Amino acid sequence: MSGNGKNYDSIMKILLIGDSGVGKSCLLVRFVEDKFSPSFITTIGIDFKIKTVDINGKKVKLQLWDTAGQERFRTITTAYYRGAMGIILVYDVTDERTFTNIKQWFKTVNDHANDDAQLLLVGNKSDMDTRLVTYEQGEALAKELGLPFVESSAKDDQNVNEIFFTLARLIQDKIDSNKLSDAKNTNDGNVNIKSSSSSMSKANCC
Amino acid sequence: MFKGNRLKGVSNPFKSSSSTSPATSPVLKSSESKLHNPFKSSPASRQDSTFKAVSQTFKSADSKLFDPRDIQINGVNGRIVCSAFDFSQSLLAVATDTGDIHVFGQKQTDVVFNFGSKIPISHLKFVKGIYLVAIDSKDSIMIISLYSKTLLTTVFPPSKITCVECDPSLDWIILGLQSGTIVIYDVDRDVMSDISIENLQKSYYFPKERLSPVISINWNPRDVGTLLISYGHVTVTYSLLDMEVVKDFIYKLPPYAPGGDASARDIDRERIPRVMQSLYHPNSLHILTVHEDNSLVFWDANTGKLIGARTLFDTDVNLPQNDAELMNFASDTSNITNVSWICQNNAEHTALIIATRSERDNTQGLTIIELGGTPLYSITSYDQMKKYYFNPKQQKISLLVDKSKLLKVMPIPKASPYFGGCHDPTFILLLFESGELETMLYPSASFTSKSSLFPPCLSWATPLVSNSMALSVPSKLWLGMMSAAAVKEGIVKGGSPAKKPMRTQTTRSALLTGHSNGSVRICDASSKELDDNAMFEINIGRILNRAYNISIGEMSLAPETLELAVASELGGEVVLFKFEVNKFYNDKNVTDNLNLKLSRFSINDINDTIIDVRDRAPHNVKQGFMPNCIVNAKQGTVTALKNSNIGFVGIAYSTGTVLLLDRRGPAVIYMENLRNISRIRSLQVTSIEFSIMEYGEDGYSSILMLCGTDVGELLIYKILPERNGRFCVEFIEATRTNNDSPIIKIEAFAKESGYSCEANILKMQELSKGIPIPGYVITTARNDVRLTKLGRSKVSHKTFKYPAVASSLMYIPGSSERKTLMPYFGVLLSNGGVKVYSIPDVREVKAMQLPTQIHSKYIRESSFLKNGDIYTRTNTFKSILLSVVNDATNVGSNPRDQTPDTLYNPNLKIPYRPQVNSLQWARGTVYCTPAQLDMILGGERRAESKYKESLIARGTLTLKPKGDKNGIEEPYKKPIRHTSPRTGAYGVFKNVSRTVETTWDSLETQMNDYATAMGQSMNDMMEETGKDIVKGSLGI
Repeated sequence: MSGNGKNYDSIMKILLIGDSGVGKSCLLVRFVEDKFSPSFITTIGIDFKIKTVDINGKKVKLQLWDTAGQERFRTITTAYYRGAMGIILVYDVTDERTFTNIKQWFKTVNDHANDDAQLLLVGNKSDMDTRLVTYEQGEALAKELGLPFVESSAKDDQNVNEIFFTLARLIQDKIDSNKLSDAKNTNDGNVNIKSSSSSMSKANCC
Repeated sequence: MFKGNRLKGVSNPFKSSSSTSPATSPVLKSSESKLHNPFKSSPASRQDSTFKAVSQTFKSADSKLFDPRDIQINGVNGRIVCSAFDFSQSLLAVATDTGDIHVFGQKQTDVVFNFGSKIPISHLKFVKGIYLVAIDSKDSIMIISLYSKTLLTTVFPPSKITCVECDPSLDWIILGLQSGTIVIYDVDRDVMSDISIENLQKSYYFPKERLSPVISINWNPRDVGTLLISYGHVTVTYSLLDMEVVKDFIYKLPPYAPGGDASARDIDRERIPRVMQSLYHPNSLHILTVHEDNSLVFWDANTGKLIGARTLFDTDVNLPQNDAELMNFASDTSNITNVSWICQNNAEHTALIIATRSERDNTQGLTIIELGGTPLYSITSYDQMKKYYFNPKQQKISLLVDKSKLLKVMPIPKASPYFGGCHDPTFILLLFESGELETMLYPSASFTSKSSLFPPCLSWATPLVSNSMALSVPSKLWLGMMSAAAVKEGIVKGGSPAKKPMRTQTTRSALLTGHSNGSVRICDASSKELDDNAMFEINIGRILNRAYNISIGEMSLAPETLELAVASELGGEVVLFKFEVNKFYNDKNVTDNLNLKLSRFSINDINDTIIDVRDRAPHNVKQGFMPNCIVNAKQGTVTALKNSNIGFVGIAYSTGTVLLLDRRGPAVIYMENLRNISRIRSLQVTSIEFSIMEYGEDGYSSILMLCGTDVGELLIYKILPERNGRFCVEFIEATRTNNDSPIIKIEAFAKESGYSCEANILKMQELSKGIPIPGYVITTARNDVRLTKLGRSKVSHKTFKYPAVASSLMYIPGSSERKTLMPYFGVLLSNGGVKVYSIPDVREVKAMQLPTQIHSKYIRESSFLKNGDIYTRTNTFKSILLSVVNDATNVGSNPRDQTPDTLYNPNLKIPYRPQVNSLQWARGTVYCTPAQLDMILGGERRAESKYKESLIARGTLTLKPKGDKNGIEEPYKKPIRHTSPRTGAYGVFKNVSRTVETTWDSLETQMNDYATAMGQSMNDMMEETGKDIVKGSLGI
């Protein structure tokens, strides 16, 4: 890959959405810069960050789009959902409202995002004593919506990397399996692969 | 029925705003006590028959009291199409599609130029602070003097102008033409230079390509002798001293390099994406070329080497890729439309502001790429430089939602007029195709709705006005508020407004504008008469915490209690405000919890009709209109809204519901649908009024709520006190007063004195005395005016040829004694006609025609006021205040007879233009002084200027650099002095630079910051520089 001068193999566009103050920016700053600031700073518009990670032996450049949660600044339009390969829906485990609003966010995503976008549900602030949404509730909602689920704490750096790596892996698997099926269609051969597990996709190198 | 004790319990809304309250009552008292009663002199005044005789005598004398004239125009005449800001004079110019050019200064300073042409202006440029260059879309170049406020000359270039460059300190404007030629015009001497630059792309680079116009011209920010010129395929730096190309920059993409467009069909071939803009880094050492395929390409200006090419989200796009990866690039379809390279006070700290627009869905945004401090040119490898451009400190996107096409991004510089007007901006002004302006704050990228930053006339475009009205306010209270909150923070500080005599009046006219972004602004409608101006501003978007459906519909201000009610045009929510000291004022320490609570607020989560929003007051404002509550009745949009002076708010909805709210509480004390009340199938209430007067033959007075409906029906309610101190509402009757048309205004006046029965605290307190005030109600509908005695019958009525637009009782000084106020009734008709009637006999005193047309689209936005002022909106961006009162003392106050405002101040200096850094100079760049430039472009026998402006402007130029705060003009400090031993070659350099440092300033001021990081490489470089210097000195 060094031949083309690029230091990565692919790009993934990932969006973080959810109510104001659930910790989207904190998760991102923890992941990209390994920092945490307890003070609340409203995101205006979209903050854009980049991190290159290693997924299944490939260097993947993550384009991370941190969106404003506050209704007044929530001006993100269909154009920005479009093209997102991964969308992280975040709620705050200490605030039930943010949890119930996840369904609304899910609907918005379904209306505007690509059909094949990989979603992930995250319950943030798991370190807090004032928890009002249990892990089981989160898990149940994730099951209902058919999403993978992670609880995290940007403050204590729990499961933060997992969020992004899990999502990136799921996306990579999708890409790989698509390539496989494409290959299958074009070759009209007898490649017998049904699953999209990571071990299989790794074998498929093009 | 009203017992004294009970009413004493009614809180006086004045009390909370203690500073203003004492002023109110005396004014009102005096105005009422001065009311001359025309009827008293006549013993049989109650008999209609005697009115006839009296009013006949009025007619001759009284008609002379009225004569319409303009008082003040607010706003601009047409859609803004072009704008420019001058740093040194601090003036803002805007041009409109009607061919007007407004130049704004501080306060009310506003000079309008119109040269009879309706061709829209495409470029506006300030030259040397004294000239304004306006180029229209038919390529006429108009040179306007800001000193004499006249058109000096008009020039016509040889071909169509495609781009223009000028400098705030130089006489010359450089004109790029459609033919690819560049011509240079001497603004100061009104001649074209003999020097022109041929189409360099055609002559030297791509002779076979189609003729390219000049795409972009930039003066080197550090050297007036060099230009950066772009054509379709090539960008060059061009030396005016040598009249030759210095370096060229051609962005060639090898096959399979995606560039900015991975989906390009000819990706398997070599391509040269077309240039759309080129820019200098403020230190002049790097160049950015922007291409139509959305590539941003950074170059070394000295060597011409490509440092790196990127798009908004991807990097190294000029390198070939294998096909599979290309698929990943195609996701974002936004096209770059404009790039500004802005810098902080220290010009080495830079950021790119990139405007984008998606062809697919017209989504527009601004991407801010915060590059941070530029690595020191001389010691940074190309790879490091590339990293600097590829890994910015921060990147954020601000979306422009629901906006028309973005025409212009205009940073307002704080530090100097140089660097293309991009030197340390806090405010970035955005101009849209609709004529609207938005203000983005840098670096936060948030938008501010604050209009006090800009001249008041521009309030009409920041953003569009969705509703406007004027109303009478008590003079003393109002003037006190105006001076206490006078605007001091404006961006535009130049010029000085001409003083206009102030009319002596007991009421002044306040102007309320509601905007599409949820802002309501309250200011004086004839503000040119005032020294101190204030604009009070609230925003319901902030209160509702919502970005959509916040455009303002109905508004109502209670001028005596300073309570404001505002309805969202589409949402139907009503937000109540009160002018008071902010109980939540906390400039610094707003807790995260409160912030989080405020940010998560959503009206949809709350089912109550009344939602307390006091804590949503802006925490950084000490005093002003503070939010109290939201009334969310969910009954459709608001059709009529009245905040009375006695704490009651009447709200009527499109569903026919009428709601009465008592602000003491607050509590809804009445809510009923019109269908259950109306006798003639009224669907909506169209106007509400509160008055205190006798109903029928009650023998006492009551608080009445009067509602007029869409079919001319009048509903009468009594508001009665209950034992527990609260109030209850009793519906009295519905009576058809007017012909089948909506009632637009209801007013009541006392039969005896003719003064208004409009409810206020004073009258409310007097209710306890049980004195009956018999009176009449005047209802104005579109087709007629009725005078009614409540509970009895219609007394008289007038019909009109044209629909009525606005009406009011007027109290104006009578002809005999100057200070006696006489009551009249005025009606404004849709054809611009005004009829004045005596009251109570409703006899025509005067019929006149306004000098202004009433715009059919804005009929609802017309107001008739108590002092005889008439307010009407004349177009999207403009309104006018007129007076029908013939006031002999105000001769000359017509704006058409006014001496214009002053714009130019010869005492303001144009700062010194930043110079090429010493290292550049030492490396062989030949420095060009402005005098040399004049010599080259103007020739040795350059004629003297025929304008007196020339000499004045010359006096304002700063010819020598000063070590000053800006950081650009610090004397050169050579870092090498603090470091290791020198080589022989360095010795030569040292001597030269010693002389250099006294006369030349350094721009690489960060050298010291970086000095510690410097090692051997620096010395090596210096050696090379030393050699160059010898070459350079031989060359000079």
